Amino acid sequence: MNMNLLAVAPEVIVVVAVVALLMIDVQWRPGPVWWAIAAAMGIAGATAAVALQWVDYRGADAASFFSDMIAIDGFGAFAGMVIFPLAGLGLMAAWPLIRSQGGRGAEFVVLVLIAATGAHLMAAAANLIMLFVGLEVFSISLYVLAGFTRERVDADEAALKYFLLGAVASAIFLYGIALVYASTGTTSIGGIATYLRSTILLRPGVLMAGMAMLLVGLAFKVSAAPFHMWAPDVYQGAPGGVTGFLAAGAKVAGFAAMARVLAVALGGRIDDWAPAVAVLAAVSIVLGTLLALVQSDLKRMLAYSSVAHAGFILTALVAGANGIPDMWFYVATYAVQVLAAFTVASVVSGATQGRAPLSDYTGLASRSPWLAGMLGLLMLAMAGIPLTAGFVGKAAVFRSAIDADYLWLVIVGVVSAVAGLFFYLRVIVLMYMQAADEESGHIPVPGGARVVLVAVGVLTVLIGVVPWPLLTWLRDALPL
Amino acid sequence: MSLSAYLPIAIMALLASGFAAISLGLSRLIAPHNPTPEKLDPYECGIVPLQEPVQRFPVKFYLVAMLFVIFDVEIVFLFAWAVRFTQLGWYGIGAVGIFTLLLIETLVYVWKRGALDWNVARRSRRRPAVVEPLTEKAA
Amino acid sequence: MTGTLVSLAILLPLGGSVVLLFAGKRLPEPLAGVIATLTVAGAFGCAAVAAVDFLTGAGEALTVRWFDWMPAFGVDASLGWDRLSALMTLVVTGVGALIHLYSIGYMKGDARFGRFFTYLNLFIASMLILVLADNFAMLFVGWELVGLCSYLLISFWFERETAAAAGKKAFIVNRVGDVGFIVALMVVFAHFGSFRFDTVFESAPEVLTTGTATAIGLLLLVGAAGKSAQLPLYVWLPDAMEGPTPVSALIHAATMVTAGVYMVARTGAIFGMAPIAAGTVAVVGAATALYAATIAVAQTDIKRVLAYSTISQLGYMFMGVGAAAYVAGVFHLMTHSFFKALLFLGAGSVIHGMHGEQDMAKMGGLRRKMPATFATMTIAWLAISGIPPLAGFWSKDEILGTVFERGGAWTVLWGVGLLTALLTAFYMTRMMWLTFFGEPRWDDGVHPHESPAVMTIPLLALAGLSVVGGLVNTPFRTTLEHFLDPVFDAVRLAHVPTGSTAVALAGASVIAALIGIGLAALRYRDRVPDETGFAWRLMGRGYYVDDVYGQVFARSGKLAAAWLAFRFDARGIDGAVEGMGALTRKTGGWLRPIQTGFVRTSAAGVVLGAVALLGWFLWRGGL
Repeated sequence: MNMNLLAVAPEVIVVVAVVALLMIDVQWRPGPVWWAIAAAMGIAGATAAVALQWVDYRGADAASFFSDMIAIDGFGAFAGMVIFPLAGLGLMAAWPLIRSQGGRGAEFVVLVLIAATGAHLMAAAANLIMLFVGLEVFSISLYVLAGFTRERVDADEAALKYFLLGAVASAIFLYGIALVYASTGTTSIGGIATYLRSTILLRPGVLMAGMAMLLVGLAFKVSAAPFHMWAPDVYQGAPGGVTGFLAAGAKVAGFAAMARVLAVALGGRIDDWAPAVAVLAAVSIVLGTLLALVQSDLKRMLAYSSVAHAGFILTALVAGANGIPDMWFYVATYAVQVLAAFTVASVVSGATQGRAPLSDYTGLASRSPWLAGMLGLLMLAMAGIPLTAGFVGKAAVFRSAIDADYLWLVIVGVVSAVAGLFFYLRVIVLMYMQAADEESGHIPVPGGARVVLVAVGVLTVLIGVVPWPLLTWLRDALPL
Repeated sequence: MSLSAYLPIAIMALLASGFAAISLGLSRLIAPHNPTPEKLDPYECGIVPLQEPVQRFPVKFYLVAMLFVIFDVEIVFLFAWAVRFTQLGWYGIGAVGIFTLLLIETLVYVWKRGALDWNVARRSRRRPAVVEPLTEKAA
Repeated sequence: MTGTLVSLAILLPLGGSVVLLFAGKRLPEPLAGVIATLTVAGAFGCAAVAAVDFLTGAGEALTVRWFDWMPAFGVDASLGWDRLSALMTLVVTGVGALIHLYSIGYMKGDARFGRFFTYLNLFIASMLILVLADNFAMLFVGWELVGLCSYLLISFWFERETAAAAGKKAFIVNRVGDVGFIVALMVVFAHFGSFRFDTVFESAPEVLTTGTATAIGLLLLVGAAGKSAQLPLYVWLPDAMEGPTPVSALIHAATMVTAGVYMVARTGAIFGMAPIAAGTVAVVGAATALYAATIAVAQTDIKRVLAYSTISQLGYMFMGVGAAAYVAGVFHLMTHSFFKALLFLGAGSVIHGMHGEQDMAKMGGLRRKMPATFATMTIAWLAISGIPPLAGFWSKDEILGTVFERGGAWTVLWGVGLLTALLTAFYMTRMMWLTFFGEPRWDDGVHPHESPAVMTIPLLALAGLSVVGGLVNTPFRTTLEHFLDPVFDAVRLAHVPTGSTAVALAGASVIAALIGIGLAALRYRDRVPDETGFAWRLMGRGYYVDDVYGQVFARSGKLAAAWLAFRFDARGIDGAVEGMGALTRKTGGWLRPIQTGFVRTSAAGVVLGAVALLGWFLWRGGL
């Protein structure tokens, strides 16, 4: 057995932090400062560990350990470098919510940390079973987070819906693993790829059914249409402080797993799944855009927009392994944007609140020019306006699709992106070109949210203007 | 692919669902069918039902039952380790040790938080700090 | 050295807008405007110094690389400095600087004085990015930024509902054009694997078939028609005058609308391979020219006359570039930017002096009250009408001459152009007479006065340019043609007529202009005729196109495909835009019932999707 503790170091560090936090909390009830310290140490340690993985094992040195269960490669390491800081930002943005939950706040911190661990496990798994374990660890934490505040019924509703539908999707995914195993005789991702390359299946039906079910399970997690219907209800119902991490983390982890399963394990079968993925992408883009146009609630609108964004990211995956760097670019930049957008929503409409009616944002520019400016920037970035990271991301995924001869998909994407601009712009118009209500006053911005917004704003513009370093980097973010 | 290999399964599925459908359908057709309002009531003992037949359990029951299931299921892992005890050696002992530690830690947490206390009222008198902040706004 | 200057030309206004964005509120009023004006003037200076080499004939086209932007696309953030972009830069910054200067006077006392100059500077910087781009991606960046700035500026006084609506309308109609433009870019990239101008244009003959070139050309035309307000996407421009008058001047003269013409000229290599696309450009241009001129004849609002006049003149430019007379097209772009800026600023001066009155029926007799404005406007009037030796005559004549010279069906276009010239002279004369001559018809309490020097000086400068601007390219001295020669080296240019043909054609257009002026002078000499008949109302309302757009798109949603997904706070936007909004809301509304929020519905979605995917995969598996 080739053991390499570095392979599990991020998980181990986070789990140690979690155990310590739980034990200390239940015994001494030390208060929020200590939660923050434990979380910061866990996240910093895990980030350092994945950074070390990145330095030592990306590219040719990639390998898998623990009986071919966990990989250390550029792919998993980069995923970790996105996920763990994302968890940190998520906690910072959610801090008012955490404090409002009294003694239960520590559990919130723990759940976010465990979710991050699960997400990284999904990205770094070298075996479908491991991937499933990561998926469940991640998902179950999110189910609880979605309903974390108990004072509102709609948050419970959101959590229950998320749980029920997520369980269905997980079951389908697990069945897919079983069928793929039945067809190839292994659950190892590398093993499946080798088997499919070296063997001609005379009766691929079982494999095909397995592929379909794997795709369903993962498409659900990333909220691609028509598996998206949970997203608007859950995003709208979940407390404002949670939603950002919920949306961002699910995208990162889901697409990491999807890229590994489709592009690596089933890479030899790209001709079978690429058209299906392309159709999923097109349906998601069009449906997400059209439905986002008619929303009157910011969080719900962002949910539909995230469906459309899932479609754009899928656009990169039709190119198979060649599209992975472009996929990462889009996923990473979009994840921080959506986290920040929901952060603004939680500041304006309330950290424990679910709904964020657009009327809350009328004349925001005069109530808080700072928040309005950030939200405006994020809207422009999501719409894909040049000189923001969003534009480069769209250009990158479209390039992938063009290279893979999916011009029709690109045209669908471009047209929808243009149409999509209107609902993003609508928010800006509301904020800047309409007067605020008389009674609504200045909005204080909590420190954590401020840090998140500044960081994301700077990143979005910086990467938008100078995307090349990141794009170069991502050439190494390839799976084993 | 030809599905011939799955033909027996298909036949079996067909037979099974056919049997169910036929027996249910037959009894519906053959059996006498004279409904009266009293017959359709949940209890035919002459008392008008006051509430839905589904019993209400204390929510605590679910919590304890769930915790039991969780800890029970974890035993399965120990079983797998036990039957291969010699082959797995010290690595196995180490792994299962960590696993058990995590389980114990969970148990301790659950216990300390009071999830195993059946009588909430009594507990709240003893340690109000545990119960009070759960749903209220504190900070 | 030259590279640094070229970069500075963009960075100065860009920096100005950044400074004003943060400090605009704190600076005392004129200072913000002065800073903005100086940055643009500085940009002009940089461009002028950099362009000296070209004038002496020594200069070579060069690329100024800023940084790798997206090398995988063959895209650097880099500027291309050649003669065409040099000319465009000089026009944009030169006219732009004068408009900035004028704005200091015009915007005096506005609550958001600093913010206005922030946008104005950003507008100039965006336009410079557009004309200095050396690849399609940078061009697109500029293209989008210009759209954004126009939106900000047109709806600058967003307290007025019409202004906010006009801004949205401009933005939305431009987006329709942008769809064509982006799809064209995608097709270009799919075929060339690069966005770089030099790569694309050099390898175009080998890579593109005529069919593909035609497709790209037509898609580009959609984009250009949106930006340059051609049929059928012109509807935003007349409303765009809801913005402050200097903005109208900037949009109509130096920036924004010229982008389409510039883009067609720049992509001449592709249009050269696609005669059908080029012909379509010319036909669209000619049709727009005549169509807009007839509408301009019946307008009563002084700025609306000028707005439709711009559309009409842009039609000329399209006709020129469509006929492969790129030099003539760009030449007219240049002269037009002089006299149209002058006309708008003059109109602004009139409106300023009349306390905001824009209806020509309530003007008249202003020539004594506003002598400087009157004198300069007269020059612009004669220039746009095509009276030699003023600027408009030479450029318009060159376009018409080239079109005629191509013979065949092009002669029809020439006829249309000539008729438009007559109409142009007519409606401009009508405007001049209603405004400056005759008896005063002012409202009570209006006391017209001349504008301050800060406003009249730009007028005088532009008037000078309108007089001499045409002399750079006359049949006797084709300086501009020589200047631009290297740019259009690879492109087959259309022939400019010479000898007696040239004289005859010039005579024809002068006669047309004189007829137009004469008719209008007779009609409006000493009275304001009743213009409420059916034909006048028809033309005055722009043939009810806005209303028709609204009806068509709103009532029969089936006409437009589902991709017309525009919903943008449809209330308050008239015409086409409202229709599209309603259409999309409806489409979204149809989809909405699917989202019941019940878990069972969502689960059904999952199951249906799963079944569909299973079906596909099993079918692929040969079941």
